[in-house]
Amino acid sequence: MLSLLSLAPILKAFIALIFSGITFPLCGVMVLRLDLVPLRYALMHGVILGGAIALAIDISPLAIIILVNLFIVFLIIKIPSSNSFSSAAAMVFSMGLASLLIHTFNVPSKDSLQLLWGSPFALSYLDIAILSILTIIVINFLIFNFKKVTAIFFDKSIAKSLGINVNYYYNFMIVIIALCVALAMRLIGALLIDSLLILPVLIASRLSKGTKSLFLLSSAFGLLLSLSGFFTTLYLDLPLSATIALIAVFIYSIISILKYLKKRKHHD
Amino acid sequence: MENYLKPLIESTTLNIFNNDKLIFKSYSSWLYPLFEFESFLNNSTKKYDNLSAHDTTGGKAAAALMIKYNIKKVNFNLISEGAKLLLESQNIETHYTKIIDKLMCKTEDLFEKETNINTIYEQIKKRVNKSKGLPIEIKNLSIGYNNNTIYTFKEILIKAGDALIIEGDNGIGKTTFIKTLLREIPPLKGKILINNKPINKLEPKTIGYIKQEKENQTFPISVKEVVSMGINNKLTKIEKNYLIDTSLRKCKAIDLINRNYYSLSGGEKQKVSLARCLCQKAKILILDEPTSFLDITSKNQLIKLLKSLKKSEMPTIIIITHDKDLKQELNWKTYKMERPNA
Repeated sequence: MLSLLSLAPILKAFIALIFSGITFPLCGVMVLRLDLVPLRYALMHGVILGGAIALAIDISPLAIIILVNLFIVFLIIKIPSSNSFSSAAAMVFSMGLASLLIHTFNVPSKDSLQLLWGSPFALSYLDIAILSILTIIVINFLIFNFKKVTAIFFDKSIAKSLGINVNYYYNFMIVIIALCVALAMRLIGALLIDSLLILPVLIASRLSKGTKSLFLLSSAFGLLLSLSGFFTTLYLDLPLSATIALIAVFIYSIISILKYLKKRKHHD
Repeated sequence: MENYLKPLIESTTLNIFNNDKLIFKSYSSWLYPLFEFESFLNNSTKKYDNLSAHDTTGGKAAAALMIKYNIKKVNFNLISEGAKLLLESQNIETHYTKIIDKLMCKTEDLFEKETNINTIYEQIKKRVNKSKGLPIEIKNLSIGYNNNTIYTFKEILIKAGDALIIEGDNGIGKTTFIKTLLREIPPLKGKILINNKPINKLEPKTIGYIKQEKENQTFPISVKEVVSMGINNKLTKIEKNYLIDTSLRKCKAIDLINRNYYSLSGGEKQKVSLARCLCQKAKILILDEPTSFLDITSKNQLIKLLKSLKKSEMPTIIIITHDKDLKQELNWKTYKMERPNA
């Protein structure tokens, strides 16, 4: 099985999964702590639209996806009130237009399905490079701004009272999330982004007692999920994103059951 | 058994006896109980010539103060080796439950090599007098949104280290006032001066803000992370840990340091929030309905803590509240926001 790593597409997927396993959950912590779940849905749909545009005009999808997502983020920042309504409108628009483009430009269904399920073994070196840069940016951002980020997660008014430029850091985190979702689509598809974005965070939240340990454990579980999914995929010849998703749910369920049993024992 | 050898009860941190009769007790922390005793001695006309004391923790600083106050017999729950040697060098009868090499605090580090009682005393006094609040002056201040005035204050003057309770009906503008003080929204007219400077020139972290919390969140944040939010990043790791430790001790919340903040009770959260403000060295504390969602025990603990912090830390305090019991117990100056034709 390990000899398969000598094949370029497999190796690229392996490297991408290491970076994404570490980075996507860090963005997932931001999504959940900043209550940006509607934004995440909007971005996932934006990814489908960006992918559909790229397939329709037959160019590499990543750049278009990133541009569409950044545009969605720009709109949502500029229309801050009724955030969830803006996100809902953006979602419906994205899916409607994507469907129209796929139909109008006769995009093959195989290519359309890749938008939903990802194409981890079709990544380019550019994709890997962008993913590695995002990883470096996210990790450095969190290391150098941890206290500010924690304060913003805790309470924006209190963060402002501490002299933190909340809008700046908030908008920066939204942009990072937009880039992360764009890259996640290429790797694991629009529908199963949560398997590396959100589920590792939910698993980690059952075990951590603070924000630092939440970030660290989320990243650790993300890496565990991505690598276990990768090797399981190779061994059993299964689709990668689905495998990662199912392993994630399995681990989350086990930990939830163990926590419940521990709580019950404590009460008894 | 003499009374100073008996255990301290409830949350008492210091008992002082004269001829085995209790003459003074304190619930404060750090060295403040001893400073309170000093004020007690200065204000008393009686002479006390057979003093004994039971204190929770004794470092060299506490030992020096006890020698200064002519206490002849001491009993500590926890004492440092340096404190014991200092006391014994002055022939003070010393008892203790537990002894350690050194207390983990900066005050102990500061006096590690010092043996002169007067020098230790002068240096402690200097450290204590560093914490002060700032004066606040509000004149003809109109607050509101989008040029719509919600409320106008004619004049409010709060001296440095003083406290003010602000009360008013729902919807009168209390929250808008807090937002204006926190510079979330600008004043529509008039001015707010803090330490004679306009509020927009205020240094960051001057104001410590404590708001009421309605709900817990799913995702954890540790008490240490909350308390250290506003800490000065230029401090070394040891200095930061010392500051976090001391702030939590002053608020009687040191046991909570490794807990998830959202697993705490309402009263515990308020203690941690106060510790956060101490850690950031806030000169002004703004508390928004601090007793909401607190049970009676937690409310009483908070009131005790606020009174103690006002004496020991001396920040300027503004409390916005509906709570009549809180007003009564604190007995601080009150400003009532009223509608013009009320």
